Amino acid sequence: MNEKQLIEQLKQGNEPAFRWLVENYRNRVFHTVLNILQDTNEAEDAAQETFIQVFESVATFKEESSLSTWIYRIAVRKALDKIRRRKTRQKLQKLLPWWIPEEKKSGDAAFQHPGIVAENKEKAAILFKAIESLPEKQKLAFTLIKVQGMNYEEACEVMQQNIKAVESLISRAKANLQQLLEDYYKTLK
Amino acid sequence: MKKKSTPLVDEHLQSIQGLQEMRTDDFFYTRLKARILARQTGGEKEKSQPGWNFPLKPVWVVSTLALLLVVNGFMLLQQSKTKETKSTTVASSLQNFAESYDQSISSSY
Repeated sequence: MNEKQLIEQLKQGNEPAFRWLVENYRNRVFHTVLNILQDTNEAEDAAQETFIQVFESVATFKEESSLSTWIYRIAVRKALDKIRRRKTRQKLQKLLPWWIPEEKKSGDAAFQHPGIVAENKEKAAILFKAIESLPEKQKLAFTLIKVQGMNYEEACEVMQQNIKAVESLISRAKANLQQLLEDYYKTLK
Repeated sequence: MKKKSTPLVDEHLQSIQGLQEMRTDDFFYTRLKARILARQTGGEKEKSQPGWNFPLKPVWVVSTLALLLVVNGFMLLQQSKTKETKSTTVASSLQNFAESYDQSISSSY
């Protein structure tokens, strides 16, 4: 089944086609949102929300981009929404600590990516912690390209930015990360 | 654009080389289907913060407090304005009374 036929069947509400789509994309979507969110439970939730939106809005999909880019875009948006909600919640928690229930995941706990080999876990955790501090767009560009290994063209399409803008985001992200890592190691001395 | 050297970043990026793609478990579709069905039947409410319903949501609490503060401020402003008007009215009526009897009010201090 080619992509056009798949989209057609999805638009007709064909369940086996939707199931095929989910089975083929679920790991890629989960991996993407996990890299952005750095939280397994939230990533599972965001991945599900992504497919719910795909299911509900495929009828209005204009096919201006490929199906995979469209799905990635939704996934990235869902992940960013969760980050924004998390930030709002953290701010409110500081403002009204007696009102907001404490989160299960501590903001200070370093994320241990389950897909990293044991001997690299410590360094990777330090890097992920630093990535978490980057501004939203820099974080997204760096995560998609440097962590996930997406190529620039695909990342540009997902982020809906031109290549120059994405290159600039990567460059600024690297400079900021260098500073953050230097500061981190200074505090250890 | 001149690229800055970022040795620490490059070193740390080495640690995530060969990052394995994470996989969801085999019941992902079953859970997803259940959520979609729940939404279709109206069973699933939009997921907000757990246990925060209408009156307890922080946004409502903060808005209510802000509204109360605004109303209080307005009331205080109105009250002080009324007091000012009253005191000037009392002073002018005393002045009129004194003038009508051709007397003037003077303080002994």
